[in-house]
Amino acid sequence: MADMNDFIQAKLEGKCSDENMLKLALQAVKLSASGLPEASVAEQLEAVVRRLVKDKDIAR
Amino acid sequence: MILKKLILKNFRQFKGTQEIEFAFESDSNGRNVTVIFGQNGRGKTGIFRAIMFCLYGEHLLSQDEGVAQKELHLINQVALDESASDTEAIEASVEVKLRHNGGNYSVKRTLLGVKDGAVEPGILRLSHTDADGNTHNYEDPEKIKELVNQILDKNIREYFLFDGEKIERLTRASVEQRKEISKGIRNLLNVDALEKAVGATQRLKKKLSQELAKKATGNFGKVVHQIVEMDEKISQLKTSCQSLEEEYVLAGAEKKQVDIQMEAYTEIRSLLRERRDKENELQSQQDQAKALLLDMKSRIGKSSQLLISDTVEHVFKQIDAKKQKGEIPSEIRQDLIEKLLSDHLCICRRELIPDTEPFKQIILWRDKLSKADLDNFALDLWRYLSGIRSHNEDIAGIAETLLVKYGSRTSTIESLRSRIEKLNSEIGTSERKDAAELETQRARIEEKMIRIEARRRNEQGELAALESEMMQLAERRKSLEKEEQAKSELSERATLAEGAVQLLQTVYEEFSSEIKVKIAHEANLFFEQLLDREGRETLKEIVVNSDYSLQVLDRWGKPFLADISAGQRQIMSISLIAALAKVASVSEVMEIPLFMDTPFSRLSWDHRRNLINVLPRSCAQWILLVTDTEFSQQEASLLKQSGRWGEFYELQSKGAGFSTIIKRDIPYTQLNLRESLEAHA
Repeated sequence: MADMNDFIQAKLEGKCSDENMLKLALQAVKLSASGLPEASVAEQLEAVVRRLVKDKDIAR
Repeated sequence: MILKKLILKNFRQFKGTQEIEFAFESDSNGRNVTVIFGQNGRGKTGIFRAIMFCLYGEHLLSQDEGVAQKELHLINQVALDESASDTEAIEASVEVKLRHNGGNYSVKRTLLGVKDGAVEPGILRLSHTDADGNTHNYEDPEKIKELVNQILDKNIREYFLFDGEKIERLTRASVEQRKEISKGIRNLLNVDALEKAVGATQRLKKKLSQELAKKATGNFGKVVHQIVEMDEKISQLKTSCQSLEEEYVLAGAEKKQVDIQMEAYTEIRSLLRERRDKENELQSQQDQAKALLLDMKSRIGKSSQLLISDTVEHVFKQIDAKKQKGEIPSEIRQDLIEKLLSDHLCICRRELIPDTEPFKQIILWRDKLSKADLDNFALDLWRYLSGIRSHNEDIAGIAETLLVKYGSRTSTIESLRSRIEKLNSEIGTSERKDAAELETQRARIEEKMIRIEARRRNEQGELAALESEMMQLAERRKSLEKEEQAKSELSERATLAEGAVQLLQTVYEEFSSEIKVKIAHEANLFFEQLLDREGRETLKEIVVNSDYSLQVLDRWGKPFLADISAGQRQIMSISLIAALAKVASVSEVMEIPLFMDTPFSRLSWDHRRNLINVLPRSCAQWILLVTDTEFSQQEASLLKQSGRWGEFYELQSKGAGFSTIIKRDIPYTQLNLRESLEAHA
């Protein structure tokens, strides 16, 4: 349900001030809602977390 | 999901190609009700079956219990009989066109059959045109199954596409069914996506922590190792708690089965009934006592100051006495005395000569007043203590009320337990040996449940302690990371994953509990609107349990589910369905159809009237398959008055095994509807 996803997103945004943490959590919800199995979601999140940390290093 | 069109070809009674266009809310006229009228045997359930067959590939419905699939003929028998030869294949098909999340879907499923009865599956195709106009076609059955489940989860399809006479079964579902239903509801509300997100980030966190543990050294390394070990313990405990919970539920179901078997013994039936009532009451009293305890616990932080209330009282009284006497604050201001001393002039206009006795007295007086800061402090303290005193009085009052209530609950619980024990022994000493044996079996199950519950509580306590320890370790890791300059890209990744787990876990817990409260609230609003007067007088509230099963409380707050009528059960289920759809769609109107086969047959006129008045306004689409024994001029006229009735079809017989779908105009005068069902009865 698109509306429900918006609702969850708003909740996550309201609870987190760390931009990268929020991005990771949102990506986790999005991948989970796409119907992928949990293990595949975790694998894809590994790449996401690597990219987020790298981008942060570059920005520094 | 909104159903737009159904195209049938040689399916069940419908020979040749026939179709139905459904009314739905975004039609220009805002009409969202479709009525499909037919006397028994004309194919109403065939329409329902067609949708289930097309979307989920199901040949049998839940009402076909005991019917073998081969005994049920989905291909029209007349078409088969008319086929040229025994080997000529006749195709039967169902196509459903629907709208979902701004996209349009078409699902088509066919069957091929020959005269001798052999039937083979034909094609299955799903076509999806998204909101931007891009079309995707699918033929892989697994992919189609996945897509259809995303539109309306198979586990809860019976909530929205259902047989009115069987809908009340949802309130009686078995443990296994309830599990499936709960899974489906979590899917509908996206709670499962959050659950999966928590699980996936936990996996990621575990993996990164393990990698980090291999590389980290020093105290930082030690803490990382501890975190990995503790993580393992926590996940083992969680699994164990979950399996204990399942074991408990299964034992409860086993107990219920024994109760059903015992009902067969008429001589103990009244004792059984009393025991069931007492057990229900005990459960309700225990729940209330638990809620009171939680309330008391939540107030503990604020009430700890009661421990020093005697000291507060003592200090307050001391300061207050001085205040009453006018000792604090002093009536004479320090700046006035300073002025007298500098002017060498007393208030009485006498000269003040330094080193004389009066001068020294005034200096003494000034020094005494130099404690003005102390006075101010004492006054502040007086005000603060005064606030604490009145707060303490409030807390003490609340605590006393809570304790009295808790005491009354526990004494009721005790007397209920002793009555149940007495009933147990009376039932156990029944003259019937087989009944006594069942009672022993029941007692064994109960003991098992108590043991499971005790273990579960222990493990939950252990889990809470470990989780709090884990949080401390995570903090320690952070500070050691800084101290030992152990920060690396890997540690940053692990920290990020850990943060995401905590964030998702918090949102998941908050979201799932909020959603349950919301569902219960909405279900009760619908329940109140849909119930007839008699029901409203007897029944007070629907309770949505943690697995989304239902309980209903009577006006005294006691569980009443076992005693309500089939019609009331039906209303209760519909209330939950409407609430689910409303909460799932967030917006005011639910974008899920309510497709009801024989919806009114068990309902009183008041219930029927309430449904007709409430549902079209609350859902985007209402499709009714009705027979002449449940749909009279009275219902038709009320529906027409609602301004929501958009489509009307009649199923007409054209001979044995052959029905046609005829679109009718509204008003419905072509049909000889009964004036009212009550008058007919």
